[in-house]
Amino acid sequence: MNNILEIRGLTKNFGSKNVLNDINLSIERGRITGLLGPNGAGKTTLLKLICGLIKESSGEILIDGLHPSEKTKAIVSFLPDKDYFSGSERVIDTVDFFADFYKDFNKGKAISLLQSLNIDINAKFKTLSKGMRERVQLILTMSREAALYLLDEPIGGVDPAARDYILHTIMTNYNPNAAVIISTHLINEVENILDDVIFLKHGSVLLHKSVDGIRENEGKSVDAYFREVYGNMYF
Amino acid sequence: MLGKIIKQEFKGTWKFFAVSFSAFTLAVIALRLTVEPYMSNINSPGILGTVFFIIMLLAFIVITALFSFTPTLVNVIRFYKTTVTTRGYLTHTLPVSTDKLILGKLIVASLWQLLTTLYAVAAFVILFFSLNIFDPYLIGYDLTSVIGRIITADSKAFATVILIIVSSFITMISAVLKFYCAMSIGQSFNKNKVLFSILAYLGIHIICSIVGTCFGVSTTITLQLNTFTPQMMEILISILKAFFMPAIKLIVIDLAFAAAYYILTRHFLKNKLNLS
Repeated sequence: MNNILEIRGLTKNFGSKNVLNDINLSIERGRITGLLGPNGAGKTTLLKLICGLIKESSGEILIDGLHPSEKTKAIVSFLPDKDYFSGSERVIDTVDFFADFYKDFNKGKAISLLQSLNIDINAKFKTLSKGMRERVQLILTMSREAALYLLDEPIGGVDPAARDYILHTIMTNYNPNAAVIISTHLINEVENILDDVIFLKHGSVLLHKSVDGIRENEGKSVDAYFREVYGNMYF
Repeated sequence: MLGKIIKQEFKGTWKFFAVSFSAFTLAVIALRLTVEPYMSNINSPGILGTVFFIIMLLAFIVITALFSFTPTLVNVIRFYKTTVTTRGYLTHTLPVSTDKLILGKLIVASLWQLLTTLYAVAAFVILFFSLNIFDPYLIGYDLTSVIGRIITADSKAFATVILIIVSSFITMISAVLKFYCAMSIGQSFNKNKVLFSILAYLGIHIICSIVGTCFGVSTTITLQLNTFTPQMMEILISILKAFFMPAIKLIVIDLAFAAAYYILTRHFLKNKLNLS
């Protein structure tokens, strides 16, 4: 089975509000997929469902053939769009925490990446800037030899130089046999590293195609195609 | 994985308790040294000695109350920070089941609570025994012989003592779970999570008080207290014997409450997690 992720008829409601509606997706190993859509399209909700943070209202998610559970959490590396560090904690404490809980965590790689950024591993998080904390979080996520990486808005709200660093870190550190799903609305920035894209709109999958397919069939970049598809939403 | 959760919980809390235990120890030693000159003759302490003894007793009660509240405060903050704030993104994506997560936190919280209680009791015993307050001449009976009598004289009274100890331990665990339950319910709301956690706690407390009253634990004790005999030792044994069935009831009710708190905590963290 080459698909690391299978989603069938997935629906998520928050009270009476329908956030995801009948999602059907398959993600192959070794592919980098962009989960694209405007704010409120349901990108974060979908990632939260896949990593087991929240429960589906109906439908099914299978990761390596398993429903989300502690077993799938052992093979899924999730980067939330929120900072989860405690200010009084040292960087090395969190590195040790990851090494303790995740068998696939490569501590040496994490420390090496941190040192390449001149981050003192004995520094407390409260002494690091917001950007540095985000990079530490990314390094921890990418230092796992996971089967599926879920990156929620990894380049949102950072300067262009930081974006380059983040994308470089993702590209040079992910397990090549794994799948990567990157949620973002900054398509132009990530287009070059993507193999496939998923367009989400109002909680439904609008399309799931390869980047090359879009360029060949539509004769335009993913960014231009995205603007064409979503453009009428704002007018 | 349960062991790893326990390890992390100890790592995350030990510093607070190191400070708390140290401060309590220093306060008790300071209290003892301050009061000692006025209580050199415990058999006839005089007015000043009696006043200082009362002050010491009150000060000890206040210090112990503050000390005893530390585990509740630390455990509540720890649970809230690690499970329902943004830290929850890390906690709930660990390869650990919800059961192990709750159990790990509960075990460490209960152990700190137990250690704090035992330490406070030990401090009380050392402080007051060192002043010969329990001198048989002074209080009219030998405390150790009373304890010995309870153990040997009446098996039902002794069984009640054991039941009270067990009940206290279960009540302690149940109290921790009650906080977990309230916070798990409170986090499921989109806004004002702390406020809803407090409201949930009050709601649970009211419901449990009504249920507890319906089971008539306190009524039973009141009725049984009428069977006291006049001799002090016999009164004590009578109280303990009278409390035998209520103690069992208390244990059953507390176990039922603890189970309900656990199930609700598990349900809300597993199915209604609402990290913002």
